Amino acid sequence: MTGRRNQLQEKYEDALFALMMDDYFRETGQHALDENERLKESNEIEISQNIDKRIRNQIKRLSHVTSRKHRGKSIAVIAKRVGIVLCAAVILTMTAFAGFPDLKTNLMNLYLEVADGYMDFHFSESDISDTTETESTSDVTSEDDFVVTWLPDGFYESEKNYMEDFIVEYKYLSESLPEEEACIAVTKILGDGSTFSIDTEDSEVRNVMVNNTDAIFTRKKVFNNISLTWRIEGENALMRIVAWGISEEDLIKIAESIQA
Amino acid sequence: MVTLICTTIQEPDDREYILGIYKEFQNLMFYTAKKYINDQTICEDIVQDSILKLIEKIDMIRGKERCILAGYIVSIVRNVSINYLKREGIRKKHTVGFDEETIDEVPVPALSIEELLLAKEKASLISVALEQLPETERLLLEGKYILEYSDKELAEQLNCKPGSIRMKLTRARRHALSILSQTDWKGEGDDDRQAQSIAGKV
Repeated sequence: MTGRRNQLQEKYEDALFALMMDDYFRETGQHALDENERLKESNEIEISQNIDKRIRNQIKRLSHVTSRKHRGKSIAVIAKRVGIVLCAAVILTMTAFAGFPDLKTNLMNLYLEVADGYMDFHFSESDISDTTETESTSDVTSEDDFVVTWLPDGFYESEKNYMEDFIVEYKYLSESLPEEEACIAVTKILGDGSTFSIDTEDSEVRNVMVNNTDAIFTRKKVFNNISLTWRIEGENALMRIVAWGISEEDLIKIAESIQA
Repeated sequence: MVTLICTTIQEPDDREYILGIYKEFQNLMFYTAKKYINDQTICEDIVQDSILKLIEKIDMIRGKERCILAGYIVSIVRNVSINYLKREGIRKKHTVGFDEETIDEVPVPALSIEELLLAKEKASLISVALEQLPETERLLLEGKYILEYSDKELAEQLNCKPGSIRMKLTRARRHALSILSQTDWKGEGDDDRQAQSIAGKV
């Protein structure tokens, strides 16, 4: 008989015998059960109290050991699975960091701290080349300027400001309503190792999308204003619009119309 | 994540489960042990060792049907009893009659297809075949197919190498199937002389 045929024969005999033994086992098991009931009723077997107590104590003692082993095994299995999940998460994150330089830059440059009542945007310090004196004393240059290409009907540009060294602000007012009731302030904030906070106390706060970028929308009822704040793609800077007297839809439309 | 963790939590109350089994089947366990050993003290030790075995296999026996559990408990006690007897060097009518060291050297002829089919038809008479087997072979087959012992556990019981268990199992199986194929429907062997020499019965 060839080796392969031998193996097949053996497997067949093994399976056949296993089925036979299973049937035999069920039959003997039923007999054992019947025997057990007979013995319980007949009191044929006398078990001393000492041995009964000894066996029960042994079960209690040994079961503790088994439970500890099981718990240890469970903890080990859980730890292993958690470890696998964490490793997978770390690998995915590292791949994302390595494969997407923009993501790395964005995450490293700016991180958001959220607390009750305020939201901080932390900027890292950008690369500083050899210091050379320039004619301008302000860090904000024309390159940091931007253009708002859409406004709601009836609004006009009122002011343009360079505030401090890192803020460019445009203010738009309504032709028909006073400033307290209708006003749009669009601000670009340059980050350079600084922290910029926005007030979120007693405000509705949620995420919205502005040109495929995540933005923070707030509605502060006490001041009756709404705002949008988002990070400018590819720059170490924030864009923020605070507005009174316009809808959320118009606010998003203004945001999406801004050209850096 | 929560689902992942939950699937690994073990069944609680193992202690209560084993205690329940002992309370339910203690009479049967002592009764089975007494069939092999007359000494009450040794019977108590046998039952204690059997409880140990049950604790080791708790994951396997939990959830089994009551009749299967009863059969398993009887097999465990019988297995422990016979192993005790072998350890103590006591030879009874059902112990092995041939040299185990030479077993593996003797080639085991495979049964023909006709013999296997005959054996299959007479599957209900398997108990007759098992009774006619040497005790070692019966222990081996019960240990493998009923108690689901590993090769290592079987080797420890038979005091042999784990590597030789496979061959011993094949031999025992073919022996049982051969007896089965030769057994008539009355449960008697076709060749009484052959059956007696194989069983080594007194």
